[in-house]
Amino acid sequence: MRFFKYIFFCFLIIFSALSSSNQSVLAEDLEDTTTYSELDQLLAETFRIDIKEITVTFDYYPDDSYAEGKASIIFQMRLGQTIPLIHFDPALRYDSILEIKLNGEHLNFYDTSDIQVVEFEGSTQKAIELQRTLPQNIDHTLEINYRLFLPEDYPRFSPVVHDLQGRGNEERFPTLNSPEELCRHILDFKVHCQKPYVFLGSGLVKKMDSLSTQHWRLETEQEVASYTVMFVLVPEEDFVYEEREINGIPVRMAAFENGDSIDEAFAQLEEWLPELEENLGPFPMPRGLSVFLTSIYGGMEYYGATISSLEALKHEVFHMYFGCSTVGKTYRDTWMDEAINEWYEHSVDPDFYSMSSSYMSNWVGGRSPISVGFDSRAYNEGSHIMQAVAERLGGRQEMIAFLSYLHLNYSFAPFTTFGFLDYLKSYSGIDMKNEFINWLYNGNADYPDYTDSYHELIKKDLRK
Amino acid sequence: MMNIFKKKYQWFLRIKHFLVLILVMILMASVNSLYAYSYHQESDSQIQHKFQKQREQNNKKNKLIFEFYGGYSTLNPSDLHTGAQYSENFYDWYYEDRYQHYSSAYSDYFHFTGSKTGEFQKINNAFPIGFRIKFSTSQRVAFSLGFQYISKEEISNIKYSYQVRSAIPDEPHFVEDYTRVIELSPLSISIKGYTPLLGIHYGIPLSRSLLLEGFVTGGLLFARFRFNGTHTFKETNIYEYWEESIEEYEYKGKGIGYSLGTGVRAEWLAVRNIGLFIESGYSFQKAGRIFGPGVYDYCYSDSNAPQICEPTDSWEGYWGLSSVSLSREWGEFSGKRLGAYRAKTKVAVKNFHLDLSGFQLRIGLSIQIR
Repeated sequence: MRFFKYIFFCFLIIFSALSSSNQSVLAEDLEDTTTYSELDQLLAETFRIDIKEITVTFDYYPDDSYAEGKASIIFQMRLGQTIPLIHFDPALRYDSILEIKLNGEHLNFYDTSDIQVVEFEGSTQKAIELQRTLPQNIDHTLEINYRLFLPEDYPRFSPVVHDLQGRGNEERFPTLNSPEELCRHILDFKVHCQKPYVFLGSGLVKKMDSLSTQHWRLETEQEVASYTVMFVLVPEEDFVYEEREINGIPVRMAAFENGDSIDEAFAQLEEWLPELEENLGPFPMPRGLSVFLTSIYGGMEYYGATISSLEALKHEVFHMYFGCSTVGKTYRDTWMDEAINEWYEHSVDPDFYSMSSSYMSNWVGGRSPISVGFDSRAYNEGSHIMQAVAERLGGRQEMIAFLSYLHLNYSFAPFTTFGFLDYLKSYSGIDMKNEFINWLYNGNADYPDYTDSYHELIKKDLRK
Repeated sequence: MMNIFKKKYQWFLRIKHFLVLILVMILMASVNSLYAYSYHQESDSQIQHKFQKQREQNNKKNKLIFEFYGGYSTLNPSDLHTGAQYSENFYDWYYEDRYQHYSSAYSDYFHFTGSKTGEFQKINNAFPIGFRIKFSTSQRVAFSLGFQYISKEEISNIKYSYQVRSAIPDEPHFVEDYTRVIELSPLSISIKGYTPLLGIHYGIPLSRSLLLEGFVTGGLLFARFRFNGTHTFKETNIYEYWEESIEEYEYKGKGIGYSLGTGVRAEWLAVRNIGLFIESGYSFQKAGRIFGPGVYDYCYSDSNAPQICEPTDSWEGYWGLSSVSLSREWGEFSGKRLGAYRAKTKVAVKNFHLDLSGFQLRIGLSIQIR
């Protein structure tokens, strides 16, 4: 018995030595690949910080149409950066900030030696620059207490995200308005009102015990871009709410009493979710889907959630795969989400044509990589570009197989348009670099000499 | 001011042929009255004798008559109107109907000011001009070979301008506050028709100088259309976001069809070999398989990007009308839009016809050659 113990001990030592040697190889690889490309450099200079976690407690006062937020942002400085900044647009429009602390030090929002509002060429997103020099590789904490003035018309508290226009959740809490900035979100909502409220949101939502308020906690669990975080608070008396399970996916849905039919929405999802799972892979959000069903046409996708009309529901739910899990690195790259989505819908038509090889435009290249929003040509022209990819791959089924590969391998690892091409090439050997440069960059773009795919694979490995 | 002058001047140019013709006829009428006055200096028997002789001479030989005319025609090129009015109908539905619906259905949450100004101008009439050479084989029957030209352009300037504040709870984005201006200006449609015609004429002399005639004509219609427009869209919202787009397009096409006409006319032999006539009738004129080029330009800019223009899209094909149906909470929309779809996207479309039919009233001058 003692002999076996000795053998086991030796085996353990050898195994741990081997695994530590594997780790050091990976660390070396990472060091090599974290040499910032020009794009990464630009993103670092523009966004400065890498957020690990955003925690906000909202105290919502529906009768008085405002909410008070207590936000805590834990972050590190990005490579080569020392002066932090944050996006929070209400503070730029009205007297919103009540208190601001950086690493415990009180700052005066109106003192330019503490705070300055800065702009960057190529972007309309203004940033609040904190006039302090911070060291790298350690966590910093920014705390902001603020007040949000909400519309008096109706007591609905929800994001005002509009990705096409480049508006994210920096309208609701301090964050970075950039698709590549992924972080955990923990949002607490305390409703100060006698009327019962309904809450829907992204990720894990828990009703908390509280005697004085109605309290919910939303945790994204997964690191996600802030503009994909959804929450909706509305008076319960005006709503119908239902939960069902479709293909093993928990689906929660709320709609106005006299609004669009929840049954019709569920009927749509009964077919749609299994189809998506079959074609693209398991539903990407472990907590399922929350749907705030509206009657007026349109919709907006969020991580594991959507605010959508019945007509737009399938489109928004498709975004769970492309847009909320498989994501663009910069706003201008998010054209791919819409293009793939529209392509999936329209390519069932055998007459759906692919983008002409002579087409030239600049609706990706014409926008700065740090600009917010994307071009509306993503929908129509973008879908025909995706059809061209599908034709090169051999057809609709082959394209779906590629999309499934893309989703399964590169979710939550934002990539650029060129990254997409890298993945296409590594998947199929097809090189569409020249076509894409003509279609989207007016025939003039410097294809980066580093490979996004390698870069992102390393990141993904680390996450595992 | 210059634009108004230019527009008036162009309009004048368009009808100048017609005006010249009227002036000539007035001139001829005054010459005739002088001529008639000189006859009065002679005795009645002399005059009677003169006309009698003239008519006898006329009846003896075949006559060659040259006729020039101008006039007025009602028109309704309905397919062109349908296709060209699509944008206006769509925007009426998308903005006017929508805002009105929200305003009444969500009166507490939706407020807007602003409205539409201007409306689509249809081609309702035109001023044809033409000439014909008539060959009379007997006192009552004549054959003719002629040519008629008809053209008309209508320019519309339509503007939708709104200030909107919406906080409808049952809406994906909940709060919107923006100004939106959409202009379809100019929106121009024009038609042209060239018609070589053969005709049969049957005349009944009512008096020595008055002739009543019925006629039937037939021939080919060489028809053309042009439809061009500029659409601008601008929106600015409270989040300091704005976007602007400009679309410019020009569609042209031509096709061959038929022309069949019938009518009656009265002719007054004003002087020995010159007559004035007025005629009225209906012309069925329609051309199908309209083929031609289309050009489309689109530029877009918003607060987050400089203006990015699409490469000019140009194509050629047979023009058609394709049906569009949409349904939204504020109502249904159905329309037919014009496009050379068969050449471009193989979408099945209704054939596009250029219909230049209409009632015509013409006045003219005939010159008889012996």
